[in-house]
Amino acid sequence: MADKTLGSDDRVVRSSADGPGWRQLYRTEDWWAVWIGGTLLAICTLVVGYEMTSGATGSDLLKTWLAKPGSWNSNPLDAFTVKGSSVLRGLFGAFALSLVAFGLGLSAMGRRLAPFVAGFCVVFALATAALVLAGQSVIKYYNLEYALWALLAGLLISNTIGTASWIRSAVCTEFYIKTGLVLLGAEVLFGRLLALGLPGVFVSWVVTPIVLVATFWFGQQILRIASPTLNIVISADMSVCGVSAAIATAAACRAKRSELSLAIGMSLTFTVIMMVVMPMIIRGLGINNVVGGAWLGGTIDSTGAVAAAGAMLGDDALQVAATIKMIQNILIGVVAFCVSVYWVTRVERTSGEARPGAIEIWHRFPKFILGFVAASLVFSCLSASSAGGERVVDAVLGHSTTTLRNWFFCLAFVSIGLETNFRELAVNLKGGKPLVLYVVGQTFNLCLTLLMAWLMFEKVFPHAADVLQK
Amino acid sequence: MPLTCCKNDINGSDLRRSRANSSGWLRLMIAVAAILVLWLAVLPWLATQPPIRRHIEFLEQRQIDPSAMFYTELEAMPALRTQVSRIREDHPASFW
Repeated sequence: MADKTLGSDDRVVRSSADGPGWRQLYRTEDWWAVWIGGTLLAICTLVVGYEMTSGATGSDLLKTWLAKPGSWNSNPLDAFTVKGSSVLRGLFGAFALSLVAFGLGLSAMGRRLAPFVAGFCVVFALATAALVLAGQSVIKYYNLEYALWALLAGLLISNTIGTASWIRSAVCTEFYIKTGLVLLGAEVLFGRLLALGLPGVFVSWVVTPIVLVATFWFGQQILRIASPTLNIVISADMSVCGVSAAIATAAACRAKRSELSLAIGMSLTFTVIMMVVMPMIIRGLGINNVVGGAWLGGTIDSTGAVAAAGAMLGDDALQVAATIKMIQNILIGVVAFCVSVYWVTRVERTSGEARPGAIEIWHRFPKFILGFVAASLVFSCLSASSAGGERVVDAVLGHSTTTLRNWFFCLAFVSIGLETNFRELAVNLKGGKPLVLYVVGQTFNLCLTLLMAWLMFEKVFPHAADVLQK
Repeated sequence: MPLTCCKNDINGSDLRRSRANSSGWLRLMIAVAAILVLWLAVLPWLATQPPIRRHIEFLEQRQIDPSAMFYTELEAMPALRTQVSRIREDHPASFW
């Protein structure tokens, strides 16, 4: 059954249920994503640990050799100089490391290396162009993330001159996404869950799952959206944390590429609107900055946009908004895991089929999610172990694995664009149901989050609001 | 006769493919030109407009990148975390 529904090439991530037993450990992308992601995390941690013990601030070597284009105003070449130093070595390092890691994985899985290397140069060049486009200061100001431009770069090629077969050799959307997600796992630090005490937990971890489940239910039962994967990707992207949640959920439920693209397009559009309009509404209604900040943090999809909107209200709102969003970001790990389990046990089961046994569940389960969860647990423990551990984790994430993760996601979005037709994107918008789903879900999110923020910071913990405002 | 017919068909399909190719390249060139105009002229001009300029500078001073996808990408986050954690440590009863 799984093969019938999941075998399509149009999926962000395909089922790894093919191939027997232990051979999967070195013959499937799921496991290779875990090996590559795990190795990169281990190497970066060792390098940072070594540099810290030898007296350096940590991650100097990684900062030099792993970088992405920065921001610029009028001259795009300025993107290649960040804080006065050239990032060309960093770009080359990211290129070489990605080429070696993915090339090694693909050749171990029996793919020919030469066409991949040629195609990868083009895909990486397009990803670099997308990051440069995203680095323009006005584009950044409106929170138009690189995912959009990477998708556009790929779509431009595939919908005009077509994607040549030798470039297709390096179009490995799912491999890039899975590996990026394993790296993202290290950023999901559970110790940060209590950063704002109980009010933070209630606004982020109580409201968000309610909104996610209610929106998904609304999409299935009321709107009757034909594709449950499209429904859950939009619901997660809207309720949790935008693009990153969309990527994680799409991979966990094996959504179609066009569904992920649509969800991200809607999320970015609404984020721009909410980032500009919500601070005005908060001021207009005279809502205090702490409640307003919590409202922003719990509802605006993207972290950067939350901070920008919070800063418009004041430093106290910025603190609360960014912290609430950080706590909500951590939920991404739980959501991805729960969605993958739910999909394997419930959605991918035909009506007459018996509940799958443990072995069948294991067989169908997307294994890279295990890498994602393991990375999260290991780095959470390391961060919580001591002040030194937290410094190591911050240094590892800050200048190396986050950069690599961004490159991998950018390569994935370029790949999606390179194998997507504009018409495929339009099909998902048919009847306007996804838009209705997003608007209804977000409206519910806005109401429930405001109610919870008001309850927590005005009624239950008013002293917390007082001290945060001071 | 059938051979000539076949040849004509092949020539016809080659011609169609070649036209499609050149129209594809033309569309790509137009799109690239539009991107260049937008990114090299329109957006830099917008960035110099006082309200947008002021806002960009305001965000830069606070180390806020509005396009940050995850909290780990926000340069201001460690400082914000430290501030909130200090407030929480100073007033533990207020948050529990």
